[in-house]
Amino acid sequence: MTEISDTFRIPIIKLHDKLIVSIQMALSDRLVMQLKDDITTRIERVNITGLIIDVSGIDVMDSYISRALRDMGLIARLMGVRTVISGLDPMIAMTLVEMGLDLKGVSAALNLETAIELLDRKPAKTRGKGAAA
Amino acid sequence: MSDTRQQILEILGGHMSAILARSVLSLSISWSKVDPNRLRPGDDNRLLAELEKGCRLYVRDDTLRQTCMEQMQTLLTINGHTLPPPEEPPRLTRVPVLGESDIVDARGIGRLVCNKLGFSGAMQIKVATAISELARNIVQYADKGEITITTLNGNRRGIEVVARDEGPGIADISLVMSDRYNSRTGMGIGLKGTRNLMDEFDLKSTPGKGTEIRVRKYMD
Ligand SMILES: Nc1ncnc2c1ncn2[C@@H]1O[C@H](COP(=O)(O)OP(=O)(O)O)[C@@H](O)[C@H]1O
Ligand SMILES: [Mg+2]
Repeated sequence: MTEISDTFRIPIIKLHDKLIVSIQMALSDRLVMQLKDDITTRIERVNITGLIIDVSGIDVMDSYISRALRDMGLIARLMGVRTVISGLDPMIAMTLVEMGLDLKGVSAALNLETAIELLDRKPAKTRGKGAAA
Repeated sequence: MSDTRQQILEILGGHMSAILARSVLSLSISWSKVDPNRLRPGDDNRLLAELEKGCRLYVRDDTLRQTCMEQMQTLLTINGHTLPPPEEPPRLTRVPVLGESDIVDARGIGRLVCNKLGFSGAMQIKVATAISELARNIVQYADKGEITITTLNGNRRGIEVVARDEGPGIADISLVMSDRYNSRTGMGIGLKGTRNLMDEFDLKSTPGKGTEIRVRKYMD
């Protein structure tokens, strides 16, 4: 197992009008919480319309992690930003379904590329308007 | 139990001198590294192959030699099968769960064990996810505890995970396992989800004493 230092943060990259987060490790609860905070502050600070969370490197998705991802999507939506989860391993998706979990409210894409296409295709809602719907 | 060594000697002795019989047997034992009195599956054929080499030297008549070999084969088959099949000792891994970071370790170790056992990728993930839920509950509700991961080598190969703690316990088990349970701390789906992912699920809890959850997943 890879040791991750106590201060490590998952990087959030801004690309044009999007924020991209790529999770390439086993997520500890600390990392999940930190990521949620970081995403929220970044959305607040920079002007973006879409958030992509690539989970292709995640080890498992239990109820805590999937809830946190759903929350991130919800928070982003309330701030007028659409979220796409990309790269979810089919075996992890299967496990989620068997557990009775789902990522309600967030769209999914096969990979990063299709996630970008998805966000570019559908125009995002204007920030602040009708976001709570 | 009868002495297989002695019985082989008697059969060989019917076809050659006692001294030759003894040396054929002892050489066959040392070459095959098989103890006739402690036969494991597959041993009988290795020992028989060596015995046949000896018999080829001292029992020149083909028909007689064949009879001799058949007698020994029958003997080894009968005596070999009166022993229980050898059971590999179950391998056990203990993971102390003392804090949040142990959750990642526990599920990683669980996945590794499943991988070693030859579990499919999907099954590895299911077991790891279940361990993650159980370990998190320990941290959240009992502060600390332990997860043990045991390889099952019996007639059904698989893995057993036991999560144990001496926390507050669960007062109403049927409530937290029911669909109407609404958790204030989480999604309320950790235990139910774990039950769905695994083949066996057993929850024992005594309020004020602690909780023990035992789950199993089989390979087939
Ligand atoms: N090890 C434990 N010790 C005490 N209570 C527990 C333990 N594990 C679970 N519980 C109780 O059972 C409930 C259901 O657990 P779970 O299905 O994992 O949902 P969640 O953790 O999301 O609430 C918890 O809310 C908690 O009250
Ligand atoms: Mg839980």
